[in-house]
Amino acid sequence: MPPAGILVDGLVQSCIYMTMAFGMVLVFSILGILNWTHGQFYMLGAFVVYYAVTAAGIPFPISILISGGVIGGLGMLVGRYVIERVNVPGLGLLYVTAATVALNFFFEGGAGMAFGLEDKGLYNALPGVLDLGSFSVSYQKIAVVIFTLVIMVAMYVVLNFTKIGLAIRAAAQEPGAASLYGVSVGRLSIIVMGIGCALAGMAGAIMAPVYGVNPFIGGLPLIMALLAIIIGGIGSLTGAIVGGLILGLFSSIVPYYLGYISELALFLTVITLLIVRPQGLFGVPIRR
Amino acid sequence: MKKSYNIVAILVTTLILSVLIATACGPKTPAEPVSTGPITINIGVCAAMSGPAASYGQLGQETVDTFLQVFNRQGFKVSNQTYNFNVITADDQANSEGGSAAAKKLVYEDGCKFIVGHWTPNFKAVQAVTNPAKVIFFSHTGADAVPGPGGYDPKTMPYVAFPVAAHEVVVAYIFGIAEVNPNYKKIGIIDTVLNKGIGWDNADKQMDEKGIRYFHQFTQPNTANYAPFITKCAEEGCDFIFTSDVAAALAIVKQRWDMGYKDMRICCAGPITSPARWIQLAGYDAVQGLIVSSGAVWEARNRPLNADQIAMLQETMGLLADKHNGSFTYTGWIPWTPTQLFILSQAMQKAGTVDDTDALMKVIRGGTFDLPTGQYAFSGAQTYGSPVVMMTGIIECQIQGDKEVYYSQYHLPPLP
Amino acid sequence: MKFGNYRKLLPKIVVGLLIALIFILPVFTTSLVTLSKFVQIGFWAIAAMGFMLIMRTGQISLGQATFMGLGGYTSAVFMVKFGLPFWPGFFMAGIVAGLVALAVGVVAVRAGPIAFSIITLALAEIMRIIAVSWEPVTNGSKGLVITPPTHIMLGNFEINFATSAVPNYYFIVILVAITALIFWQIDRGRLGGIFRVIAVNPTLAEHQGIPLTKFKVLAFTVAAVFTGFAGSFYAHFLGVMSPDMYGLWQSIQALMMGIVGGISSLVAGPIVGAAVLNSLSDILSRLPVYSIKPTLFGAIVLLVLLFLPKGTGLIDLWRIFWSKVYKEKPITTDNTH
Repeated sequence: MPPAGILVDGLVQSCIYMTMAFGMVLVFSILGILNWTHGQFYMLGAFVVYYAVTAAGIPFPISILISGGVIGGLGMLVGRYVIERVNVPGLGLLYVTAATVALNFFFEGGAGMAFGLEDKGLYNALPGVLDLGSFSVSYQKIAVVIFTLVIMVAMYVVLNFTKIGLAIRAAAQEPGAASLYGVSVGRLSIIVMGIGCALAGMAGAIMAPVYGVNPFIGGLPLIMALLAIIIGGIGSLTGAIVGGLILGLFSSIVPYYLGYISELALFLTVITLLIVRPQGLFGVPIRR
Repeated sequence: MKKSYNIVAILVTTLILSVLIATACGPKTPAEPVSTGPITINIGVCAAMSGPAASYGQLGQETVDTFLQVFNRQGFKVSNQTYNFNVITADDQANSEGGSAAAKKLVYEDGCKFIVGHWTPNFKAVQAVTNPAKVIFFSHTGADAVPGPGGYDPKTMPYVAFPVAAHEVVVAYIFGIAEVNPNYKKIGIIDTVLNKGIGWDNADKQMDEKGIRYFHQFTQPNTANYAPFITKCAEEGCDFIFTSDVAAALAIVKQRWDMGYKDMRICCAGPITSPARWIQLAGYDAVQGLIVSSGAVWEARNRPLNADQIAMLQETMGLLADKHNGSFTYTGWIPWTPTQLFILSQAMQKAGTVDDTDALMKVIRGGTFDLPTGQYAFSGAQTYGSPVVMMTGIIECQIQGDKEVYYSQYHLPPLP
Repeated sequence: MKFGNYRKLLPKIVVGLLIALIFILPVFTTSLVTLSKFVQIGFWAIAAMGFMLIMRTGQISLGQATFMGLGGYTSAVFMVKFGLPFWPGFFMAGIVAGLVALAVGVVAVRAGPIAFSIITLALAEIMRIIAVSWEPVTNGSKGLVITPPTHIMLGNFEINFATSAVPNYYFIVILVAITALIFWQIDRGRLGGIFRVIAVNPTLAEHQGIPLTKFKVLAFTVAAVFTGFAGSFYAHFLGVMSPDMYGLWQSIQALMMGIVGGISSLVAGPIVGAAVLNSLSDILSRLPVYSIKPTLFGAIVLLVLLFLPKGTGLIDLWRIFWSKVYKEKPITTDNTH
């Protein structure tokens, strides 16, 4: 049994991977595409919160919401003017992949040009450490866990109890039938894109004090979100959460025991899972 | 809609044609120097100017350019002709393909006969370009440049020298810590897999011989979360953590504080950009007591300092401070390109030539050179085909308040 | 009559002139830098062509970098550990890449198109991690130093790969030409027709008795073999083989080159795409504003994707250009170029 500190650390990692994976699956279920820029929205969210706190002096919690709003808006713009234009039937997957990858480079380089390449820190947001006996947890990490809980509850409520949430679920399951019932799938797609990207942005914002901010922090969350989705099943929201949880714990526990081989172990596990059960833990079996 | 095809088509075709023509235009010859006055020698530097390590590459360029303003005032004389240096930096993207392309550009387009100040991990790719072209290449030992099978082979790489013995110097840091803290419990070593291999195996042997208590762990490069590794160090009873990667050190400094291990001291084998920045990134309290390398050669104790060179370096620091709102504390640039330019200029004076690289290598191999903290010699005098490495020393400083304060120094015995 | 012939002939003459120019380029310049760039473009063109071949069967492979790396490592390991000269290692590289593709392909294709993409993506990273970890064979992250191909004697004339870039240049030109010809023939022939049916209408293909998996794996393997050859040669050209050379992002670069070139074209598109993107990348890295390279790179690729009609790329501008010249509608039927 790994020490409690490792489990808590794994939990914190899970929270971020969960949030990112959830956002990606939301976008996937409506638009049918994987957004490779998702990691860069995380990075941009971190930059927004950094400048909001240090340059504009806005308190950290409000800055997170601002970050969500700004990145959500950016996501909607990207969805409307890039993804929709490029997502033609038949070639959509290929073209959207290429377009979002190009955007990935664009945002990373653009952030480098606009903000500089050095690390920036938000140490002073929620400073301090909570001593729990055998290990300590910083308040920043506790905030991450609380944030994720709030988001998950909010998403659950929205998707199950609000009109717009039900519309989203309907459009995700059966777009044709949904539009017959008066649901504007096109408008919903943009809104969902906004929500998904806002989630990524806020994830970046809440993590900004923990690891620091620079233009390159978006790569790892993207890969981890992809892996979480694969483990959990590509179209499934529950899968995203469970996949994120498993991945986060894995990425903290396995390095503790195995050191640097953990990355290889992780990839091999995912590949094995894909071979044995290609649809992931919760996904629907692939219809070819 | 068709109109846009027209314009786009013409634009793109023009772009492609101009690109192909431009690339086919071939090398540009360096400008001919004015016949009277100092002659300029082009020196190439391959550095990471883009990507995560770019800030060090850019700092390197800025500091070297400022240093040359001071250095070139006097220049140096070879056979009654004064020479100046001009440093050309090429972006090698810190990987092999980029390193190869950057080296080719410097050697064939810019006509450099020397490539110095190299610190990125693509030694093999660069030397594959420089050795056939008889271009002298100064790099640092470490991962892919360790003498040994599949690494640095002095017989097939005759135009390579190592003025910075980076992998040997790693051991020096640890010995330095042990000297100043004789009652230390254990030193935890966290390093990336990139550096695993003969270098660390040799270092482990040396540490065992000296009876150092240590615990070694490796991580993947670009790890963000060091919690598992720090926890293990704590369980093993380490009170120091050493790493040779500056980015890792920053993460570990902050994360170990967040995890509550406030008594663990962190030591990093590289220079930091400035204490103020690190305080902003990791917090004032966390950064206190951090031990890092210092290029402030004027602080070395009990060494025969070279006053002229130190004066030049300090004047450069002054100029840099003027450019940076009166405060510039980064000294990490000093042991690299500027020191290597000192070596080159002295080698040229000894050999009496500025472009016969065979003669220059003869002088460099086994030669003794005046550096800011005294005289140092390259190995390889006895046998052709043995490594050409200069064992220097390091100065460590620790962060107290918001300043870097001298902590210890360690000098390595020279190799034969 | 003559006038009608001119229309079809002129574009072909221009293409022919370009190809002739490429073959006699070393007469105009033996600059190492220029020829190296062409070698780099040729190498990536082969990888992009491999990607396009797999696309022809309707699959998106994100693992081309794996085979570049496998090819490079196979011949490097054979040279360093077993002391073999270049040529046996070169052929082994293609064979090993093909075998791995076969093994992986059989499993990956069956898992469905999205899983295929993800498995191929993971493959590149796995290869990199294995290369870093398997120290006794690959020397870990330090990489292997290898020499250029040994010189060949043709009578009194010596082809020396080590001292001049010209033999390397011709090697890659010939390799690209062979790959292009073979791929083109596949596309024009019966196999190409089968690939197209599989891509466009798999159900119909199955009804016609075509085993989907077999042909998808075939395309994957053939692409891997040639990519392996290219990877092997390029490693020897650079003189070093290290794990950082081929990973996830290199696979994606191959994809981008294919798309920018135009996915309607199997051969010319990837070559044009590779040429444009590599030259662009090179020019951008010389600009003093660092960090502008990924920004502009992404922006330009994005512009190509957004403003050219879907399914076309730069290569289709060629067709449109000639139709503008002749002031007639572009040929819209499937072009066998």
